[in-house]
This record gives sequence, structure tokens and C-alpha cells, in this order.
Amino acid sequence: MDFSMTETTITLRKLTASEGYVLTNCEAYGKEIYLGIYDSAENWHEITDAEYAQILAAQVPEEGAMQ
Amino acid sequence: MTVAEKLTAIAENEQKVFDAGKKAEYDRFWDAFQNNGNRLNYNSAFCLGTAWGQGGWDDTIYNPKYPITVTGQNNLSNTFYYAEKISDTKVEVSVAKLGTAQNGNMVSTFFGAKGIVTIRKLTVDESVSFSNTFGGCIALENLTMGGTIGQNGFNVSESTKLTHDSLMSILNALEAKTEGTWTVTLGTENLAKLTDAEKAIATEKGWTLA
Repeated sequence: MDFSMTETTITLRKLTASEGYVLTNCEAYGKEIYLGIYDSAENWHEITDAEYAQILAAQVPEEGAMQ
Repeated sequence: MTVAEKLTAIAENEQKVFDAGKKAEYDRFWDAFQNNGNRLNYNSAFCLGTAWGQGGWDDTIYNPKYPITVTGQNNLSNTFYYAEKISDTKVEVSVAKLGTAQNGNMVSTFFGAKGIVTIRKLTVDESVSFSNTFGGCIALENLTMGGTIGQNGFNVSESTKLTHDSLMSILNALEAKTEGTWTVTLGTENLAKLTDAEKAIATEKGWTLA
């Protein structure tokens, strides 16, 4: 059998939030972010955990909300 | 046949008659509820929202006969909203665009369904948008994605029990983008289950993982 070894380099661009902060692009949120190939770190900024908690609370849909 | 023999035969068939009756009852209900598989709108169909005064959809009575297949806007909104006693979708759930003009969406489809463990197969097309679709699905372990995820808003960060296979099915369903910024939110716990090479499946297709 012919075995051919391949070498692959994987490049990931990772953003990590500071302690007590969450990263957001105003649509998604996370403590760690792996940027897509068309995304940029400039599109992301930090908010505090408290601010994130407020956003989450505001996002909960009303029971029975008909969109 | 003597009377005694007839009574014996009846007794022997009692379970079969009972089962046939139950099957007929099942068919009658689900054929009507799902319009013989042609129901077009499952908005709030199995929700347990007290606002409607509904209550009672659970694993015993939730047993659909047909796949849940819809197109267009809001026909899969709130479908399992707070359906806390349903653990398994049991059938394929799918949504796609309606014609060429109306995209599909999944607004709060499983929101608050904290008892759901398995979503057998969820098939979407690239038009389908997501909003609070899986919020509060804290027991969700098995999610098999089909079709193509093409819009922002897909967020399973609260479903920290998702299996590796489930996460891979999400990554593999992501549409290959050629521009723009696109995000799928898995959450820190789920990201930790993936290798760098697996994360790169998403990022190389133009998706940012949060």
C-alpha cells in the first residue's frame, strides 16, 4: 500500500475576554471567540458580565410571543 | 363452535381488539392533528405555555405520526416553547423557504424546552434564520443537523451536554461563505469538546465560533 504523509497547518485566530468581561459583535457573545476567515478582531469588543446579564434578561421572549 | 369455545376465542383476542382500537384512536387523532402529514403551520403546536391554558404535552401523548415539515415564516415558531415534558422530537423537523420570496425561520422553536434531550433530525435550508431557537435547552444532548445553516443567530451555548457528534453535525451543516461576518454560538463548554482542526471546519468556511 502507498502511504503518503501529509502535513497540515491549522491557523485559528482566537480572542479571549478579560476576566469579568464578555466579547460581543453586538449579535453574538462569548468568553472566547474563534474568528472566521472573513471576520476581524475589530468587529468585537468587550462588555462587562453585568451588562451581558442585562442583555440576556432582555432577550427572553415573552411567554407565548407570536413573532 | 360451542359457546365456551367462542368465549375462549374472544378472551384470546381481547388484547388484539384493544390494540387495534388504540391504533385506530392514535391514527384518528394524529391524522387530524397533522392533517394527514400535510399540516403547514406548527406555530405553538406543542408548547406548554400557560398563557394558552394548555398543559399536558408530554412523552406519553406527544407521539407524532408524520414528520414536522413546514416552509416560510413563523410556521415553526414556538413549536416546542416551554414543552418541558417532551424529551424527544421523535420525528424529523424541517423548515425551508416558501417559494422564492419567503425565507424560513425558527423563532423560539425550542425555547424553554428544558426537558428535551434528543432532536432526532433538524433540517433547515440556507434561508432559515434563528432567534432564541434553543434558549434554555439545558438537557439537550443529541442534535442531528441536516441541510444547510446559512444565517446568523444559531446559538446552542446553553446546551452544554451536546455530544461531540451533535457539534460536528452543526459544523458540517454550516454553509461555505465567500464574504461577510457570520457567527454560530456554541458556548465555552461545547467549544472545549472540539479540536482545533474541528473548529477550523467552521472558521475556514467563514464562520466565527463564539
